[in-house]
Amino acid sequence: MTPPLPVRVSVLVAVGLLVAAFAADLYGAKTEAGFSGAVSRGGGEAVVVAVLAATSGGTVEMRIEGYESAYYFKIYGSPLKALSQISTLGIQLENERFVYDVRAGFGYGDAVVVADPALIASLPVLAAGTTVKGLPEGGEGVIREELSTGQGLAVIAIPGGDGVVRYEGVFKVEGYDRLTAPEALAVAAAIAVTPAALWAALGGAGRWVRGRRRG
Amino acid sequence: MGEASRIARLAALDLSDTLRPPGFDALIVVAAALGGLLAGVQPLVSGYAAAATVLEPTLFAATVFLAVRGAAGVTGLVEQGIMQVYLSYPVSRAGVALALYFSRVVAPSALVLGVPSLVAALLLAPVVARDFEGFVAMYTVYLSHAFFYGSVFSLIALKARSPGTSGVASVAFYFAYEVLSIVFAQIGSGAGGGLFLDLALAMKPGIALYNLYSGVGDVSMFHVLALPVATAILSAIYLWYFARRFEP
Repeated sequence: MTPPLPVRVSVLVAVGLLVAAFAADLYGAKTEAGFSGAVSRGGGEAVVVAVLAATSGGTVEMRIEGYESAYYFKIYGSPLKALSQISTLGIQLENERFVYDVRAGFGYGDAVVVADPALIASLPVLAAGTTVKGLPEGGEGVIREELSTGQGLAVIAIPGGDGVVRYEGVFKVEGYDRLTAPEALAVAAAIAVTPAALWAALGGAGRWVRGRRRG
Repeated sequence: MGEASRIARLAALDLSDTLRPPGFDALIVVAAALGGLLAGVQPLVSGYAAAATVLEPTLFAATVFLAVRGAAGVTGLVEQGIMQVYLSYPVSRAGVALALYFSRVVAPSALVLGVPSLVAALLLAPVVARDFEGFVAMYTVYLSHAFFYGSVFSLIALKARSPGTSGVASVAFYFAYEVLSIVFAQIGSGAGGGLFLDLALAMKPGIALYNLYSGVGDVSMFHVLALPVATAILSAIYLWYFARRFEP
């Protein structure tokens, strides 16, 4: 005799929850990720530094230096992908690099922008409906922005004297919480035991055992 | 005992065959553990993202189950003569069709998608509680996608009449559907949008709803609702075919 479906399903949920919770404790999501990089102008006119809160959300704080002039804007989706999709307008990305940290649900990258200077000034058109902000003069600035799930931020910078733009920052996930392994153990035990206990109390377990003995 | 009660009994009887262990239990425990794992390794901060992360891969498991145990199982009933027994039950043909649709499509889809979702919801309880509506909306859309496959597979099974042919034809349909949606998306992206991108999004309502929530791309309710409407039409065709045309 097979245990009834609710008993089977509750045990399966409990097993799944335990495996997931213990795995998450061992190699689970993290709520902070640092990043840094340097991008050289090369043969391009400007450089782009992009970050993307792919599956998470939170606050990015980035220090950027080595620019002559720079501005930034937020965009829904990957900024580098959006920029590469407008190649028909005469804007090309070269030396594109993107690093994704699945445990932070966050990625960052950079590229060289090869385009007419006038076109570079018009790039914020990509960010229709959002605010374009300039970075202070002097070649050094700090950006602090909140990013929701799927939102990215692009910094377009025209490099200064040495032609290299450097950046470093940290992304802090906000609004994330999950059960710890001990909490999951308690929940799993309650989920698995309650229906099984009810079933046993109603005599089902006894019948199941007798049925197995008979073969 | 009324007609509705007899249909429910028939559905429960057939459901015990569809969900018989150990196959169903093995699939569910693997899907639940891996679905929960996917939800645990990323810092998901919204209910809709948590649901989508789990449901996108789980839909594949549900589809295979619907093809092999759901639709192909119906042809097995015909081959073994059990369908004749079902039809001799004092229930109308439409009632038998309804009972089989529930036991071979609705309940398996709800459970195969539902258990991993429940595990993710428990693991990320504080996050899901904040956006429960988004979580449920995403689950509903993926469930309708599974119903779509289940309806098509059931129609294939009624025509094929052989478990092997039905299973292979169902998997072939699934493969063609997936490849076409990818081709449409690629053509659409290259063309900068248009009809092909609309079709690709409408074929994947889960992704369309995810994009709608996260504000990515040009997505409308048409993209989210086109497949559920097609599913309702296909379900009606299946019920009509079983009641009027099907010969066991």
